Amino acid sequence: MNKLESNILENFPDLESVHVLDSAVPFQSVQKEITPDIHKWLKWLDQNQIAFNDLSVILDNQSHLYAKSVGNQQKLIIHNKKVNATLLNNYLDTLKPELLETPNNKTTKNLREEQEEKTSKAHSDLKLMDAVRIQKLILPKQEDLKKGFKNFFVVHEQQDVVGGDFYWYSRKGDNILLAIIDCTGHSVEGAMTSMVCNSLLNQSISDFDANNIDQVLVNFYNQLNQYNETSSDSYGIGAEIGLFCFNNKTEMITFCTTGISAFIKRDDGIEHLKSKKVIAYDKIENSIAKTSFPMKGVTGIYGFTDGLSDQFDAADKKKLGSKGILKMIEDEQDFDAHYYLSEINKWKGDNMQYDDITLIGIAI
Amino acid sequence: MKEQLTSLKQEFRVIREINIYNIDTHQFEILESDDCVNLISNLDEMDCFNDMSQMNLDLDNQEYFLQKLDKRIAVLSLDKTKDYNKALLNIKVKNLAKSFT
Repeated sequence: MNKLESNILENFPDLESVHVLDSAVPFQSVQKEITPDIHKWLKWLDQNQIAFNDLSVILDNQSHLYAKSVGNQQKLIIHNKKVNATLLNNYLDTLKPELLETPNNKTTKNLREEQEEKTSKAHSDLKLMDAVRIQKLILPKQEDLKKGFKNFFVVHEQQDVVGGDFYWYSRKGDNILLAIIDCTGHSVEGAMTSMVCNSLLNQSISDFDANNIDQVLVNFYNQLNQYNETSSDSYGIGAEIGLFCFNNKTEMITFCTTGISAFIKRDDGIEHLKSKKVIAYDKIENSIAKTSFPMKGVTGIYGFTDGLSDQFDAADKKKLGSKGILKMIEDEQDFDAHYYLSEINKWKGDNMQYDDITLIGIAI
Repeated sequence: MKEQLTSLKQEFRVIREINIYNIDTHQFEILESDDCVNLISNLDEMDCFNDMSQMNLDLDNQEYFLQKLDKRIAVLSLDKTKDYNKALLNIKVKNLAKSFT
């Protein structure tokens, strides 16, 4: 067995098949070892002689076919039914050079260059760790949040190591403010936007008025518009916010939102607080959905970003949707992040996570 | 339908072209240029679209993203020099199916 084949199978033993072929060898030569549904693809690859770098095909039965040009005039073909596609893709994208090279090619490789590549990779990893650490700085401490409420949990699963979802907490006199923010983009783009939005949100409560909670969001978007207008970048940044204000004096809860939905659990049922569908940044007052209700009778409050409701199931056919989240809340036994994380993972199965996910639960 | 495609192109600057191919009629409903015609007709001749859901093809100077939307195939030609959010584009293209019904 080829070194590359054995390395891939060592890492992913559940793959249906892995073959490394010399470029002159037709794909159909391995037809007998691959399930019939893939045969026409092998034929297509052979007949069309396409000079591709990568090919990835997802079939209706959810199996994946990968073909990739590798190393010294070779090609790799993988059929996958069970392995997490994201993990496999990431692995294939970072295949180690030494596995791709023939011994002859290896001897001509400049060793210093190889060492420099390793050092550069190590530096990149360190920088990424710094980015993760810095993004965590803007998240409130869970101990502080637990002091403000009877119980609290958060599921904060970024699609990448950093992302555009974050949650925010502040106190103003008798009021506890808690927000869920979904910034445009994810990964590094989302993370950079989240740093700006965190700063704007902190500034937006400077003239906080408990009777006009929505003014916090108006202030936020006014600043965001100003930021975008004066920026040299033509694309700009954006965010959706769901802001809860818990007034311990009046024992009222106010929820103001642009794009973040919430469920309110009471003894007699669960209410869905929806946001308005369209956010017009220039007329933000019209885009904010605001509702106030007494604390009495409320047993749980759950806010979530659309990354959760838009997450596709394992078959990549159906989104979890608000109904799926509602069912999780109805079936909840313990007020616990682990339960929700496990339910989300069950829903997602081996499918990829499409967006940053944040779900916050509060008991008062 | 064209409005949705224009809006998608405006949102994702990485998209050079969006072509729409009908699997039943074997004709393009929308064809911005002939670049993808050979690729699509060869795949169709081999009956590859019957059980395909999605395809990414990375060539030296071009990248193609194909998404089956019921009886149609959305064929996106992408600019390899631009970064983009693959997962988000994936979702948005899947949602195109709604605009076709």
